[in-house]
Amino acid sequence: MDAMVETKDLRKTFMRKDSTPIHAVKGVSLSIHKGEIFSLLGPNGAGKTTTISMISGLIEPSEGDAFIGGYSIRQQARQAKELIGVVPQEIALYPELTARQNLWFFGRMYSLRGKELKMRMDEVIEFMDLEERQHDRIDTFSGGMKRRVNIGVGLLNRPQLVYMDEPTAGVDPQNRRRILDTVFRLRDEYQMTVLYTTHLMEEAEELSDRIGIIDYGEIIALGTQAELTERIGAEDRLVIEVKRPSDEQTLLDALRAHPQASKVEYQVDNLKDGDRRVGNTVTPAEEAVLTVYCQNGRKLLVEVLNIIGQQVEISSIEVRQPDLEAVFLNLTGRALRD
Amino acid sequence: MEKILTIAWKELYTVSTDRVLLLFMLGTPLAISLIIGLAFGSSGGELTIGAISVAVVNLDQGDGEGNLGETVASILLSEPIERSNEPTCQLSSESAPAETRPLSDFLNAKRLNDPELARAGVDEGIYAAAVIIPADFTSKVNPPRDPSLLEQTQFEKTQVEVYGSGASTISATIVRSITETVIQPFVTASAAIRGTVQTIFANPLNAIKFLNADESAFAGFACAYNPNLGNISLGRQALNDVQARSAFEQILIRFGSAQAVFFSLFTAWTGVQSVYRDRDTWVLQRLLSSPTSRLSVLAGKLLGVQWIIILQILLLLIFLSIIASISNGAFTFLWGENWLALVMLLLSVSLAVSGVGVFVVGLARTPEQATLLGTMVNMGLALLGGAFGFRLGEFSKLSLIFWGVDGFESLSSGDAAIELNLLVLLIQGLILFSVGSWLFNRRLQV
Ligand SMILES: Nc1ncnc2c1ncn2[C@@H]1O[C@H](COP(=O)(O)OP(=O)(O)OP(=O)(O)O)[C@@H](O)[C@H]1O
Ligand SMILES: [Mg+2]
Repeated sequence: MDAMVETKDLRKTFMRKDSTPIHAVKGVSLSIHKGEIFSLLGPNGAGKTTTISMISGLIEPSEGDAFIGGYSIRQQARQAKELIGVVPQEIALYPELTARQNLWFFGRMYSLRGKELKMRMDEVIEFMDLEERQHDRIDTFSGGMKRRVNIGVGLLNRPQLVYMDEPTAGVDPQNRRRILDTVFRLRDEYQMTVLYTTHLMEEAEELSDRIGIIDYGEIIALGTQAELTERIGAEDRLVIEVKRPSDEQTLLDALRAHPQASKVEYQVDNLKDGDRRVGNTVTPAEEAVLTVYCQNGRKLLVEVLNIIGQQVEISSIEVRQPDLEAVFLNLTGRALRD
Repeated sequence: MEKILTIAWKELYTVSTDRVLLLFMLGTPLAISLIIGLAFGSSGGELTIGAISVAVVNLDQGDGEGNLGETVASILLSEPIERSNEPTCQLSSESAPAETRPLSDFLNAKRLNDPELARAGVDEGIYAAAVIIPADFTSKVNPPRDPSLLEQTQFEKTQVEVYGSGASTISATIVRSITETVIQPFVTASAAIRGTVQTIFANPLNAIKFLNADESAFAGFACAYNPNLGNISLGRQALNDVQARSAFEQILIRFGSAQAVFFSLFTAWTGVQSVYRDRDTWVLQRLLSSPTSRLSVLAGKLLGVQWIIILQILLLLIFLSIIASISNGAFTFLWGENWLALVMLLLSVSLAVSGVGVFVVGLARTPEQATLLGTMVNMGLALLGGAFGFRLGEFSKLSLIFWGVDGFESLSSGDAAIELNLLVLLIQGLILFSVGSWLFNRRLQV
């Protein structure tokens, strides 16, 4: 398969004011195929933005190189940049200009002009569903609208590769859904390659053809979701919400005694969701979550229910297959959300 | 190049959409000039600043038959002119045409004998200017009485010195105009005899003025001058130009132009500094990720700031003229008639101003430092350069505001000799701009 992006041992070291180095990216080599959605998944500060900033030619790598459609970002920056559409993490728009004026301005920066520019602007405005507000100033827009314009500007030059750096940050669920759908449309209708960064496991899972997990500046795992979970041999989890029984300890001991349960967690859960809180008073804990780790969740389910028995009231039962969260936990010993 | 222009244009557009900023850039300096003008100038009135103190030193030895230097001195001193063979001539306002006023209205002249003393007096601020007539004045200016000698005579230039002080440029300019006007007929007369006009004039403009001159307007001149040498009259244009400025206008000119330059200094560094805001919002990074070179991005920014400064000062100059026009009830353009010189001055001032802005931002390590440094530098330049209403003697020449205001004052008094101002501003602007851009480019990291 053709590579859209090829990075060779990309490294970036920043200097702090006191001249101690920050190794933000420590040798990233990866290859992104044409027409795929590739996610860089990693916690805050992992080096996602720094990596794509080097790929897009914004900052000079301390070492290594990246090739976009075969063009070296160091040697042939101009040609490489022509191929890239940029959607930064921040709302990189002029707030005092209208949506249309922003599109016009950045379109000019890709040497677009006249009819061609106007056509591209109309295209993007339609694609991002911005017709109604196109003549309004950006600073009058809601967060979700701004995000959409922010993405739209990145599509003006009809890029082969579009990078989106956490494009759903601070966006309501509805707008977020739209953005995710947009990403699919870019791949499916326009055959674009998408480089997507996020610290949200769910997004990476839903969107990506392949995922690179990045932590402390290094790619610690790379592949499809199935490949990743397989590789770590992660277990299924039985997640059971129960009304707290009176003899918790007996129940737990019984579960832990089961030979196929590798681990049992018990969490008294009075603050799990915001909606359990009424005003400022916290209702006393009445519910708990039992998590049983095992190789085959479905098979064990019946046995576990038997152990729990009749006297414990069950609110919900779920069998969870291993996910990226588990992969990250397995590889780093930390939760992704920390 | 197109991208640079687009970026510059965007900068200009952004400013035009910001009402608060416009109010600061244009409204505030105008309001300050207007308030000061109304407080200290009698609105619309004639020049009410008291007569200008002048020291007159006549060193002229005469040529045996007469002493032209003495005549010039007498005119300046408003003394009766003594002539051996003719009745005493009184320099009186009654004999002058209606629109002219006696010289004593303008000049409070005092006779001194020592030129050094006179110059020192100017330096100390006792006199606004000193007029020093050289020893060879009569002999150089007066043609030989014997017509047969005329052909062999070398006409040499002689120089009457008008020594002015930087602290009161307007007054010195007035004195110079008056002195030129008084001396001109003597010089012209000698020239007329030789049949050539231009050679003797230091300033060709005077020759043109002379050729267009109207009837003898200067009271006492006909009397002072030997009528046998021809019926030569005197142009009083330069003198009237200066006289016509009311105190209100003079304050608008001096203080208004100072405020214009002062406030444009803020535009300069805040404009350059806005790159940091672009960086924080990632607009800068987006630009740099597009196929646009870093050089173009920065050049566009600086060009935009330059345009804004030029427009700001230009608009302020126009608005000041509008205020003067309203106050006079008639169209009044404050900045003289030499358009080319005015444009040149505007451009050089703008370059010097933006140079300071780029330099300040380039020198500062952080945007916060730039704000602090910029404010301090601007206040310092304003203090030195007279934007706060007073000047600090020779030190004021350290400030581009002085050179700008001095230039605008010269132009408004009809004096186009602002080469020095242009030179100082351009050199300063180029140096600060290049060093500043270099520093700034090095400092700015994404
Ligand atoms: N210009 C810079 N100067 C110094 N350090 C930097 C700079 N840019 C990034 N860093 C550091 O490099 C590391 C990686 O930062 P980066 O922005 O790439 O992380 P990220 O994965 O994008 O995080 P987030 O999810 O918060 O956006 C961080 O420790 C950050 O503090
Ligand atoms: Mg980031």
